[in-house]
Amino acid sequence: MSNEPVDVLIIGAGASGAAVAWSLADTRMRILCLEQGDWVNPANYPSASAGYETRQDFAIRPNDRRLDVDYPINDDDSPVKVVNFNGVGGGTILYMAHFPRFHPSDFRTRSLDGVGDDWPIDYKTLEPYFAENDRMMGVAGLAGDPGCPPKEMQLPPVPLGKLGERIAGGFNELGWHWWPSESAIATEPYDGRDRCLNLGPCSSGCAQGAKASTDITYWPHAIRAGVELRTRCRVREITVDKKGMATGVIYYDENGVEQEQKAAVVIVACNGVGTPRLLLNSVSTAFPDGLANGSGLVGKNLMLHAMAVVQGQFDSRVDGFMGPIGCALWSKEFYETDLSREFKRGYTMEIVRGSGPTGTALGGMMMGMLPWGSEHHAAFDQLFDKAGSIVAVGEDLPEEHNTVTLDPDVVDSNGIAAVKISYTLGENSRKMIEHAGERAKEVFNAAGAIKTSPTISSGVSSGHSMGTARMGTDPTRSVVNEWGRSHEVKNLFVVDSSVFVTSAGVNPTSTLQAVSLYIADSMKKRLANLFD
Amino acid sequence: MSEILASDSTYTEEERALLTRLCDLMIPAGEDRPSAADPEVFKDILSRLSTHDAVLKPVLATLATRSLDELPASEQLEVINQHRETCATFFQVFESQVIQAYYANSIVLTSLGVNAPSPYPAGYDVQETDWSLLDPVRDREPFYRKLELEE
Repeated sequence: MSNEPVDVLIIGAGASGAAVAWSLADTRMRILCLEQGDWVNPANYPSASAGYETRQDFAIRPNDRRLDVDYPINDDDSPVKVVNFNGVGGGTILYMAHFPRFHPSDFRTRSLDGVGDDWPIDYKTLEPYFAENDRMMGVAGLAGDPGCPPKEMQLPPVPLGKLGERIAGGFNELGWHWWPSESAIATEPYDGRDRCLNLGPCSSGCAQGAKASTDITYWPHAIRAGVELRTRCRVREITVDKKGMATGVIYYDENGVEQEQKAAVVIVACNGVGTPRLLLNSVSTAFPDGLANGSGLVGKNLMLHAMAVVQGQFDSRVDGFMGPIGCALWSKEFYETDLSREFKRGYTMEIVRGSGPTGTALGGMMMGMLPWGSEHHAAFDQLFDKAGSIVAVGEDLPEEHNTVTLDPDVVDSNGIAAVKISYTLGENSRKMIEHAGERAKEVFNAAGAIKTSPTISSGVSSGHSMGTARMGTDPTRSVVNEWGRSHEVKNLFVVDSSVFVTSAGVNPTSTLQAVSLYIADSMKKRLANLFD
Repeated sequence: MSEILASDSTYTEEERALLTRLCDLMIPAGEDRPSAADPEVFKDILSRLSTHDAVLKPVLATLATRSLDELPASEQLEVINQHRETCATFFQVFESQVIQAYYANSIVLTSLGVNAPSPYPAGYDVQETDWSLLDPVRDREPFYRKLELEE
């Protein structure tokens, strides 16, 4: 391994790091990416083994996985628990591949609705990058959704299955919008990936390789184009010179040996939790409060989404454990602000398919619905393959008291300070959750469900971490400028969902990758005067 | 089964007998499903429980004094339930491990219409969607919020 200086150093090989690496590769610059985790072998994913439903090594929460490549996240002070994955592919290894884009209005919430803030860029700016990203990831869906701006699809939609069709019938009964989800899943062979086999648990990795995780989408292309990717390299801090320019990083290699890597440009792509962690850990005389933190906003305005989950139970089997767990259909019926409601902005309703036998039994036992004794089998049969959930992904407004900070008491396996999440659901989010939960119950009832659960909003998990290094034109109110460059450190860029100004009411991966491609393109257009 | 049980030294013979009894009480045999005490299932349960002896053994010792085998099945369940509040961790661990072993058993899975212990490589056939379901939605005009500058 050589630590020769490079032109561009990218930290993090996940959704955004892969996209920016691929995009910059055509500059012929020397590009290196450092990733704290490993490559993942799809043969090791749980869905390829018995007992797949309870394997913890691919659990969505790092606090459950407890792998040495993970860093601890103290989320005790948050009703929403943080999800991530540390490895090549990052969060896309475990995401559900639900792939909606932010809507045009999401970039203008202050102007339109008097809440949140406006972004310094808009949907039109990102549109070509959305399309480019869709082509790289391969998006399954159906054109013509009246709830979204028009776009092209690469692949036919994921089948709804019996569960999806029943719930779609409920939406139709109510006269509410629904549409097959846009999904980063190869429903037909695409770019070297084979077609989806409807395995079910996309959220513990796709053994078939049909799901678009960036280890099998962007990275093979980026590496062929000359980008170097080093795994098990955990960056401790970004270093700076006396002029306040980034000079590279200090990292620990796979043997735990401290290394120094020099670079002309440093790009941070560690998501809404990892990025502020790294910036806050990068203290120096010039930056005593953390790198690029002159605004004091690094780690603030954390948004995790307002989630409302309702489970519905039917009287017959719905093939609920078959098919991509998080991709069937969505509804934009309540996406935009409606002044007759008690909250601003809105949410997307999405279906989550049901559990397999073990998950069903564990859940049933936990909820007291699965007794001991002769009634056990009948009770299980009432639960198994007869349930599904509607999850509302609601727009969480940026609030400075929702933070990612360094945990003074916890360190990772290299002794680097871990993170603490301090997060509360605001009044707007609580009202939105209440509204969404009631609407989800209406859908289930209209679909013929025999039972619905209470609305669950606490203890839910979210991999949607946003807003902790927001972009903007005002250096006192933002961390990076409108094309991702730090206001203070002219050769430091942030390309992940940390730069989001608002959270929208959709899953963020499509948009964060589009933002990453947009920033890469902005850099390429300014190569001659990138640091001016 | 005896060879397998004999090779497991975590639990005594009496403790294994009691665990077997508890498994059968929790999930007895059904029409097309085995009891959790069926030797093929129980060996997997016992394997799972072998790392939880610190939690289980004290409660097993208490239950051993209740002579479950001498009671009718319904009364045995009553006795078990009397310990639920005071032995919550025991039940949490025991039930979780029994379920994980039982619902991964191939006979059980087959009876549920799940024909493989793991989804990969066979996968599942999901019925083709009848997209005429979308007709009412297709009839709607685009309703996403257009911004003046972008119209």
